[in-house]
Formats: sequence, C-alpha cells, structure tokens
Amino acid sequence: MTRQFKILYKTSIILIAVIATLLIGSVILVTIDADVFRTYLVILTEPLKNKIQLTEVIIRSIPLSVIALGITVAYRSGIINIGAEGQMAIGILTSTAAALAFYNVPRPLNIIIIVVCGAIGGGIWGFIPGILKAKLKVSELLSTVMLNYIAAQFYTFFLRGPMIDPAELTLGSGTPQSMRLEKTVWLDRLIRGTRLHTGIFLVFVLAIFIYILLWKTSFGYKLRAAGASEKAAKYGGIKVAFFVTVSMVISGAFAGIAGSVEILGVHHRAIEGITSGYGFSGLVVALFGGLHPAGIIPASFLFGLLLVGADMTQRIVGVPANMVQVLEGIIILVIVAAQQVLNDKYLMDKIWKKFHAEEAK
Amino acid sequence: MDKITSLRMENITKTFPGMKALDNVTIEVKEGEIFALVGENGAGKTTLMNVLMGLYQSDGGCIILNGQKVCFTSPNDSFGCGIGMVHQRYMLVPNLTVKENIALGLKKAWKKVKLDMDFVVSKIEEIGEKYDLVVDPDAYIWQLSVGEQQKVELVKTLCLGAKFLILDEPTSALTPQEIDELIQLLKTMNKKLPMIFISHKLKEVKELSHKLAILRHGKIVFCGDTNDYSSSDIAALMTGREVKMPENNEEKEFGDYALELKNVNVKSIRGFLALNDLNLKVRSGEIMGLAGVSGNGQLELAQIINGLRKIDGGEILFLNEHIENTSPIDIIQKGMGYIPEDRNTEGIVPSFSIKENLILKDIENEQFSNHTIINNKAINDNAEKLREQFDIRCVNTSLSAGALSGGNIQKVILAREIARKPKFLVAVYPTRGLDMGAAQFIHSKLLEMRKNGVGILLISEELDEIMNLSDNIAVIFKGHIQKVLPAKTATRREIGMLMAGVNND
Repeated sequence: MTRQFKILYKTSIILIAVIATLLIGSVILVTIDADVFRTYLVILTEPLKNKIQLTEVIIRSIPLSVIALGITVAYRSGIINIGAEGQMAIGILTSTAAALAFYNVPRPLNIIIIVVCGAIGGGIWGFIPGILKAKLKVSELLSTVMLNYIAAQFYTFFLRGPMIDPAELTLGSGTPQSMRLEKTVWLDRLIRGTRLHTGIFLVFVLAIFIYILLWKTSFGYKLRAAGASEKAAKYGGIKVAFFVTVSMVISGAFAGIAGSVEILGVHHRAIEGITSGYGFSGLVVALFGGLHPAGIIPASFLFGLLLVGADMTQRIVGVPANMVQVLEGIIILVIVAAQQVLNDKYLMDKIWKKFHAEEAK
Repeated sequence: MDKITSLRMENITKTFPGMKALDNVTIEVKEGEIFALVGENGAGKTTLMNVLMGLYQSDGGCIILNGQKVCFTSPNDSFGCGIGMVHQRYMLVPNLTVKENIALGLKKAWKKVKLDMDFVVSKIEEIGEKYDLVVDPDAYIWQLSVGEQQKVELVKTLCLGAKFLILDEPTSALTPQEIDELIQLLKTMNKKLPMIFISHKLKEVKELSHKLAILRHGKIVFCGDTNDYSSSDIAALMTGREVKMPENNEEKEFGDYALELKNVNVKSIRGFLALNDLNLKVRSGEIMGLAGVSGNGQLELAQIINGLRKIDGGEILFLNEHIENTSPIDIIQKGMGYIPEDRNTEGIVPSFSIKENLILKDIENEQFSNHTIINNKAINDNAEKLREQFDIRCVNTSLSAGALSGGNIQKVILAREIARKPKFLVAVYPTRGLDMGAAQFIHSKLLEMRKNGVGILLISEELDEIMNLSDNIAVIFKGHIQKVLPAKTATRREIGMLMAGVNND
C-alpha cells in the first residue's frame, strides 16, 4: 500500500462523511421547510465573501483550535475531556481577575501574567477530574460534565456578585459583566476595521508546541503510551496516573488560555455567554482534525465557518442559528462512524486491492 | 444438507500486498476424519481457514462441499452450510450464563418479546447427548475453568448448526489434564462429524489426527497419513530443517543469590491469599523453573517481583536490596527484565510501532532522548540492529507492533529485554502459543543469558520446557512453594504429584 493511496483513501472517507452530514442535515432542513440548497450555500460561502465576515470566521476558529489542541493531549493519554466548557469559563474568571488586579505592569509582562493566570484557572479545573481518574478511577465523562455545571454557576455568581462592574451598580442596569480591561492589555488588531487580533499567532505557536510535545519528546512518548495501553505502559515503568493527571491539567490550561485570549482579543471584559459552546465544539474539532495539530487548524476554520454561517442563515434565509447546532450533532455522529471506517484496516486493504487491480489492467 | 461427507479446497491462492499468503493449496477432509493443519506462525493456516469461513475471498481456486462447488462470500454463507469454527480466543460473554451465551446466536430461540430459554436448554441437552458433551446451562461463564469454557464454545458452535468443525489451536490455554480430556472428547465427537484441527503441538497432532497437511510459506509441503510419520519427521518438514529443542546440560558454577523472596504474602482481590508464605531463592546464572497448574499464584509472583503489585507481608531482595512495594521503574532501573504473560497488550503497546516498542523501558535513556527530545536516528538504528539480531520478521520497523504474529511480538519483547542487559529475568509463559521454530529460538536465547550469568525465573505451564531448561525446579501450589527439586533428578511423576498438592515430606 503506498503512502499516496493511504492519504487519498483517508481524505475520500472524510469527504464522504461531509457529504453524508449534508444529506442528513438536509432532511432536517426540509422538515422545517427551509430552502436546503440556499441554506448550505449561505453557511459555507457567505462568510467568505467579504473581509469582515472572513475575519469573524478566523476569530471563532482561534478559541476552537486552542481548546481542540488541549483536548488532543487528554485524548492521547486516554481521557475524553468534555469539560473544556467549564475549564474555559474558569480561565476567563481567573484571567479577568488578574487583568483587573495588575493594571500597572508593563504591557508584555501583563499580557503574559493574564494568559498564565487563565491557564492556571483552567488547569486547576482540569486537574480535578484528572486526579480523580488517576487515583480513584472516576469516569472523566461524569466528572468533567458535572464540573461544567459548577463552573457555569461560579461564572454567573462572580459576574453578578464580586466581579460585577461597579458602574453597572451605580447606573442600576445590573448587566452581569466585569469592568472593562485596561486598553494596555488588549491584543492588537491585525486588520483595521475588523476584530481579528494577534491571538492567531498564539494558535500556531501552541500547535507546534503540542506537535513537538506529543511526538518529539520522551514526555509525549510516555503520555501516548499511557493512553494507548495502560497495562503495557505500567509494565514499561511509566507512571500512568501521573500522565493522566498532567495531560488533564494541560488540557484544562489550554481551555483557560482560549478563554483569556478571547477576552483580551475580542470582548475586553468578562461577559455572560463567552464560552457559548466552544468547549463542546472544540471536542468535535479535535476529533474532526484527527487528534493532530495539522488537522485541527483547518478543522477549526471549518467550524468557525459553520458558526458564522449559522448567524447569517438566520438573517438571510430565516433558518434559525440553532439549526447549526443540530448540524454539529450530526457531524459528531458522522465522525464517530467515519473513525470506525478509517480504523478498519481490512476494508482499506480491500479497496486498495480493487484499486490496484484496476491499475494493473 | 444433513451431513458433510467431504470437503475439498482446491488450488486455493491468496495474495496480500507484497506476499503470497497461500499458493495453490489443496486439502481434502472426508467423513469421520480429523484433519490436522500444521505449520509455523505465518505459514498461512489462519488465512486458509479464513477463506473457508468466507472472511477472505481467494484469488483463485474453489471449495467443493459434498461434491458440489460452493462459493462463500461471507461467514454467514459458510455457516449456513454447516461449517463452524472454534476460535483460539473464546467468544463468550463472561457475565452471562451458558444458556444465555448460546441463545445469543441461536436465532430459532428469538421469539417476539422474549427468548425461548426452554428451547435453548433442550438444544443444549440434545447436543450433549449426541456428542457426549455435558455442560451446566445455568453456570456463569466467569465461574468456569478455561477447559469448561472451551466445552461451552464447542456446544455453542454445535447448537448453532455446525456439522463440520474447525478448531484453531484449541489446546493453547489448557492445562495438561484438560488437554488430555479435550483430546478424548474430540475423538468421540469425531465419530459424528469431521474436523480440521489447527495446531503446532505435534504430540497432539499425532494423537488426534488421521491425516495432516503441513504448510510452509503458504505452500503445502507435505500431505499424508499422520501415522506414517514420527513427530520429529513432521517437525523437520514444518520448519524445513531439523528441529532440536535446546537443553540445559552445561555444568556451571552459580553466583550469589540474585533474587530472594522471604515469607511473602499477597492477598487477592477476593480476599484469599494468592501467595501464601512464599519462599524462593534464585542465584545469578541459574534458571529456576516454576512449575504449577495455572492459577496457583504464578502471575501474582511475577507481578510482585516487578513492582506491579503490592505485597501484604514478607520481603523481596534483588541483589541484596529491598524492592518490595517500590515502583516498576525503580526495579527496571536496578536491572530487572520481565517477559509478561500477556504479550499482546502488556508486553507491547500494540498501536505503537515496532521501533517505539523496542525502547519502551529506555525512552529516558540518554541514548534515545536525553530526557527531552527524542533521538529518532538512535531509535531507528537500535531497531534495525535488534531486528537483525533477533530475526524479527517485518516489512519495516515503523509498522505497528500489534500487527505482528505472536512469535514476532515475543521476539520484540525478548529483544528489548535482552538488549537492556538485565541482571535477572522473569519469563512468564515465554513460548505459549508459539511454533517450534520460535520456541527454539527463545529457549536458546534464555540459555545464552544463563551462560552470561543472568538469573532467570522461568514460569511455564509446559513441563517439557521447564525440564529442558531449568537447573532447579520449584513447584507452586496455592501460592506456596511446595518443594525445590534439582532438575537433573526430578521426574515428571514427582513434579505432577507436587503440582496437585501432594507433598510426602
């Protein structure tokens, strides 16, 4: 089997998966009496048509890819982290608190402090399910989901209570949001008139970091061994519990970083609804990107496109944006199915032979 | 079709990318026959059976059943014709009862809302009577011994309508007594149905089969009556050379005690003592064979020596240092080597490449990573060196190790352990399920280590292996060492008695 064939085979399965998603989605669109073709056309092409929309796609893909990179680390060590949503929320809280606390620090240092605090907050939220899994074998599926609820309540509590903007109280409007961050810590805008910020560079730095960490270091080797076969890793003297915990800390820290970058680059304060499902979409991006940085970056762009496109369908064709969440659900199902096919070496062998036989003729 | 009177696979050819797995293979099985299919690992036995089961389509040739040409494109086709297979690893659900397991595949019992359990039980009884194959329908699978599970697997296959049996290495997980029982059982069953028996244990092949075919590199090298040939003839035909299992017959001086276990107690999960006041001493350069019926504490013993399990009392000394209840990595770094029982998921990380598996214990070693960045060149060189030295047969060392055959997986493990130059080796069932060529290779490597002054604790279920290789034989029974005998003077009978718990002293 040649390398080219393997790549061709895998891309075509992904393509088939995409087509299947579109077909299943259209069944649902038909039931709500929407114009199927136009809806898809709007979702997939409208955001690409002008500069502002295109940058909005990229803005959404930034937190998605950072979260997906973190989820990849956890997944490779054998943990499915569904808690990125909560880890991101905690990360936003801690980085906002840091930004408000240290306002007299030189700009570069200040930004670093804020992002690191976000990472610490998310990391702590990731550490809890990690240590529970490592020491007590608590299923991460339960603990991470439950911690999402706790994080959401914390988030609301802090924004409505201790961290609320004093101006909101004096004005009496009471909007649950923090004070606006000092302008000195805002990330620079890359293109005038758009919201695209320098956080995009961080994505590439982190992607390279994760690639090197997982595949080029002994740490990554041991982490992947612990995830691939716990028994063999223990036999080989690898401290599986340690790697499970650490990978969850990294995973949570990445979600936290995504949160800090989001407030430093886009919102400039903590408001309700920043996470807006990024944590869950991040898991889909990670799986869709094949749990590899090189796949995650394009995958996050695709999902950013879906998110922006969803808003536009509402305006242009009158299809509710929630429909895109339905599509996302379908995508998860199709990915799981497609992964099974991708892992089926026997099927690949069979197709290779057919392909090969034709070539020989 | 009521009975299968003849089955012929004619000129079967099957190619996989880069290799011819089967080359013009013809076999024929008639009524009342047991047909043995022997060959080394990778010779094509399993491929041939997969063609017969409809899992693979052959590139050429045909299958003729009772004189009629048939075409199997899926397992359902061959099953519909009455061909049933008992796999090497049993396909049973442990927390269901015997009858529930059988009901799983028995479509006739699937009534609209519930299973017709009475029908299932009557079917089990019918089969039991017909073939003299009695199982308790209400027992849970997890309660049964491996031998009994095998019987259930047989009953299941027959209940589902098999009139022709394929047995893939049926004895590989059984104790000697269970093997004898199974052979008797198969002999009586054979009066009513023909069988294909896949094995590389020649003693069983001789005892059981009427005819045999030997496969080597996808070709039939020999086909004929079993009785006309001796075991050693068959072995020579199988490997293409004379096979003589190496023996430990070299006198030598042993070193100091390398491993000492003193009054070790280990509680099992269910509360009883898995190891009970166990005492054992092994010197450098000595091979200590540990004989015993499986499940008498052998695995626990291997685990505590390697730090994979805590002990509840006693002490373990390795080169005069205490190692009880320390971590596996500490013990590995002190120079302990370990060939684990489960080579497929414990000895290797199946999804990792061969070269990655060869450094599983040494990833932090300066040579390969210097604690941070992996040195791919060193890993490749190491893999190429070991691949040649240990004759690991693979296309290249970047392939995932889980795709290798059992013998080659064991060679990867052995290569890794020996290349680390251990001071002591614990080898658990090192040749279980391997063909003679691979077993011979592994035995000679173990003897070579002994020559170099490495102490070895050899845990095995095969008495021949223990008696051939050991200097001394310790017999374990219910977690306690019954007695240590010098291998030279020990007799099979004496060891067998001790294994059964009879100790005359």
